[in-house]
Amino acid sequence: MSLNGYAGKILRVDLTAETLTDETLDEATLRKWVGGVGLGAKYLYEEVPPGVEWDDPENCLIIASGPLGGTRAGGSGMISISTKGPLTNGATSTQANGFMGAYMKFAGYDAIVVTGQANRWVYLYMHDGVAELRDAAAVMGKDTWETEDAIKAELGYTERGMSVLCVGPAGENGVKFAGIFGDKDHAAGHNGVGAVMGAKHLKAFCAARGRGSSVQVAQPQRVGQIAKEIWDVLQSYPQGRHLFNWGTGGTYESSKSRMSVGTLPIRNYTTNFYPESDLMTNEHTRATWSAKMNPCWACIQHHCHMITFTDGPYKGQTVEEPEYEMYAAWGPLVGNGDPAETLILANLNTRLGLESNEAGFLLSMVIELYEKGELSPEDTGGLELKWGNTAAMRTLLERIAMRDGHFANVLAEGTMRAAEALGPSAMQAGIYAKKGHSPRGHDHRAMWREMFDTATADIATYQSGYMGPADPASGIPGITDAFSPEQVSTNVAKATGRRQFEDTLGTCVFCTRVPLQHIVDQLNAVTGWDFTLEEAQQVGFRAANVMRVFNVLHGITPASEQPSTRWSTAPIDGPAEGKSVRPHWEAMLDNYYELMGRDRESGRPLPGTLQALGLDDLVPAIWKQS
Amino acid sequence: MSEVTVDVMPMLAPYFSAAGGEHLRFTAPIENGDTILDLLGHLADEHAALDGVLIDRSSRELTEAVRVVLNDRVVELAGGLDTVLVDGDTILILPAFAGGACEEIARRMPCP
Repeated sequence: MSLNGYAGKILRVDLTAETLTDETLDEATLRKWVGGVGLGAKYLYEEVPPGVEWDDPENCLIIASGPLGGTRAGGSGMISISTKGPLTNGATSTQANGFMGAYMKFAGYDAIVVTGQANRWVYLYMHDGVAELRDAAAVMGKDTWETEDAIKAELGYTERGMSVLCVGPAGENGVKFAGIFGDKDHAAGHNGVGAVMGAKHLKAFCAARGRGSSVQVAQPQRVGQIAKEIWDVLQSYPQGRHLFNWGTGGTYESSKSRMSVGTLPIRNYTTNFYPESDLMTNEHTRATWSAKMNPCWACIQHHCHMITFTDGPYKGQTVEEPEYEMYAAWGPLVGNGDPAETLILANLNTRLGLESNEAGFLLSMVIELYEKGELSPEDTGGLELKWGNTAAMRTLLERIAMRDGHFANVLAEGTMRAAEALGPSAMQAGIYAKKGHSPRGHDHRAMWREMFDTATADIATYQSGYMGPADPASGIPGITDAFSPEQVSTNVAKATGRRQFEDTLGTCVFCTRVPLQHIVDQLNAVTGWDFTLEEAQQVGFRAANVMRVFNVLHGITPASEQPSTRWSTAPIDGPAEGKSVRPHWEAMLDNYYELMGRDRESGRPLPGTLQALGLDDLVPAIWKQS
Repeated sequence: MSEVTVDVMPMLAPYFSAAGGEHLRFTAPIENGDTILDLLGHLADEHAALDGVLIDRSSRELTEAVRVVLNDRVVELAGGLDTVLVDGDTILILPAFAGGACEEIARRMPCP
């Protein structure tokens, strides 16, 4: 009999041997790691030793739901994907919403651990308590939307009868910022997880809905009651209602707010003025074209929509409504003021299977270089890479996904490596964390918290942002001055653990922007456990520290916890003109390391830090030479 | 008498006893030597729903619910809340809002 909240099985996939085996985890192990990023951290540390590279068969791809997955908890179709990724050569944990986190549990599995490399391209099919590998030859070369449709057609499923996550051409061709995409509108994108999946010759994994929710929960009525309480909280503050109504793409108001404080990324950070900002919003998109809701499993936010163009050159074409970062990447960042072109670029980005933040910063860097005469048409394969030339951008994205030609092949390595290859001007212009990845689509020069979080994180994206209303019980101090080095670094350290805990549960982060006690109550109602706030935060902090230990063992040091030159310059205009985080960076690291219980020189968690988390067995692995 | 212009984004309008969704723009009188903190304090005195939303009176800081911009410059970089206002200044009051929906956001925002 399985535990409340769990399907009861982990699926082991050895692609080299093409064997599938089931294993079970005991309750003590599950309580320690819960699911999602917790299980990802556990398997990654235990099974991917130093020396294994991201594209080696020995690398693991861990796909995990959590105990709330597939229940009535809001947004419980989320999965976490953990692996060693190519951009940082270190750990990552990246989440995708949609349906997979629910359907894989209905099919019988809490998590999948994929190792090896198949001799042919295959896809994984989970249904009715079993799994099988199938030949993927028929879907090779197809984009992510085509792949999803083709697999459902081949297996005889309707649109919502199955969840398919897959790689597009970018993942097939080893583009280092390829993501994993599914349910048309969702992605696990960071640190090249799609490239890892491609290296294993795994084109897709899919799970059938079957007869629907089969997850046994301890207190069914209580779970529904808490879901309603959480919805009430999400509706109780303006930003929560705004997200519900308008999604992350937002309104003219949210657009003006970003502009007013200088956080919208514009033309590769060369200015902070962008007259078309109102056009890059869901308020404009929904008023201009036809919008249809596209909610995930058990969604209580339902901000996702599909858009059908009702006029213009793309009339009749349906695309996903961009999330904020897509608007940022394909609007202001690349100097494009045409919202239809933004939606088309965002959709192409998704179909090719590229992570949008990296793609946006990459293209904005080379456009700036082209505009300055540092790159010529001979360098770019004949493309005129000017601000707003969206036709050239589309061609370049397609070439990158195919690694077609020298220039595209260089760019397929990601922003940092491309900058290194293109020379000093590119190194000055590139926006990236020196661990090897670009940040999310903001101008962080007016948003120091996320820049510092991103640069110090161990998962190739920011890892400790809490986005809900007041939660004094969680003990996370606030930020009243966005440019205070001490407040920022303290907040990042003290907030670490909360987000990781959320990502163990199998629920969408947009549905957990509430005081932590609500989430803990929901976990307890599903599992019958008696988690406290402290235990919950400890689960998250444990996962964060295991990811750090993994990175230390794989050669990542504090020396790489730096922003690139452009990322940390002072804005030359706009509301934060002249202010740079750079002079404060080392002091912020000092404060952060002390609060995190880590060694400042090596980045290693101190023995006491690990022991307090029940990770005594990790101490000798990183302190054996002391 | 000196005056400043106060610009309030629609999301915060209900806290100013105005209809939801309305972009407010009004003038407010200031005394010689009034600071931004004084102005925000006066506004909170006038509108009960703003209490605890704009400023923390004990710490004399902005709450995390809002951002304030003085003449197109974020207030933290424009001298802070103790900056003395002068005739003709514009104060923009925003919901703390950046990036994807609500990133660095309102952790103390009560319902109006």
